[in-house]
Amino acid sequence: MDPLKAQQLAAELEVEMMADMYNRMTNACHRKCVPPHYKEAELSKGEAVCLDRCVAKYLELHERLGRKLTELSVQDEEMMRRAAGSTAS
Amino acid sequence: MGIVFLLFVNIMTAQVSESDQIKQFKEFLGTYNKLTENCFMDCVKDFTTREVKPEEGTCSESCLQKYLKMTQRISMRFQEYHIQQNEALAAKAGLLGQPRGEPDPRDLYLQIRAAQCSGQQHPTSRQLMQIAL
Repeated sequence: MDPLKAQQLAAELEVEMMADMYNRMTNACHRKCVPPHYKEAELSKGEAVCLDRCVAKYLELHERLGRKLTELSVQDEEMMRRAAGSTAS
Repeated sequence: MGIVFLLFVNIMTAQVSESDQIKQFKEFLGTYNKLTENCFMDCVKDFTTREVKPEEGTCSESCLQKYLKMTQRISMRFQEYHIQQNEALAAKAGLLGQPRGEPDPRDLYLQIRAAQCSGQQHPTSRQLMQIAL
């Protein structure tokens, strides 16, 4: 697969992934910050601030875990390459 | 942007067909999102700050490793289960030999019939007759 096509495909997949992440983040922050009492229609100040922080934290966590996953998959691949190399020789 | 591209390039080097690789990668991205949500829900409890606290950080890294090991184990057991199911089905259909090396009754029947047709008595049919009589 040529690098330009790979980049395009990766960008498409990323958009899809971001959409899914957005939905999950909304779900998570709703459960964390908005207690299911619904006594009034407006978001309280506490709920609003909690949501801001929740979004910040979720995005940071998402990035951290992504970096860690990349690390792990690079390590895995190294191990497999070494194993394949040793069996070949 | 960078992370997805890196992961993508990393995975696209194996000897699998391209469309399968893409499917695999999509599934992988789905898993990535699921585990982020899962670990966030379980590890992040302090909303007095925007910063991710160190204990939340370590919790989520352990969560990541555990989640991956869990999915690997589940997948392994699932495959084992299906292999067992297939073997059982195949044994029933007579495609495999009987377990424990006993003769397949269908083969035995065919041998007995063949012996009967040639006018001889198959040793097993003699035994069976002795038991029956």
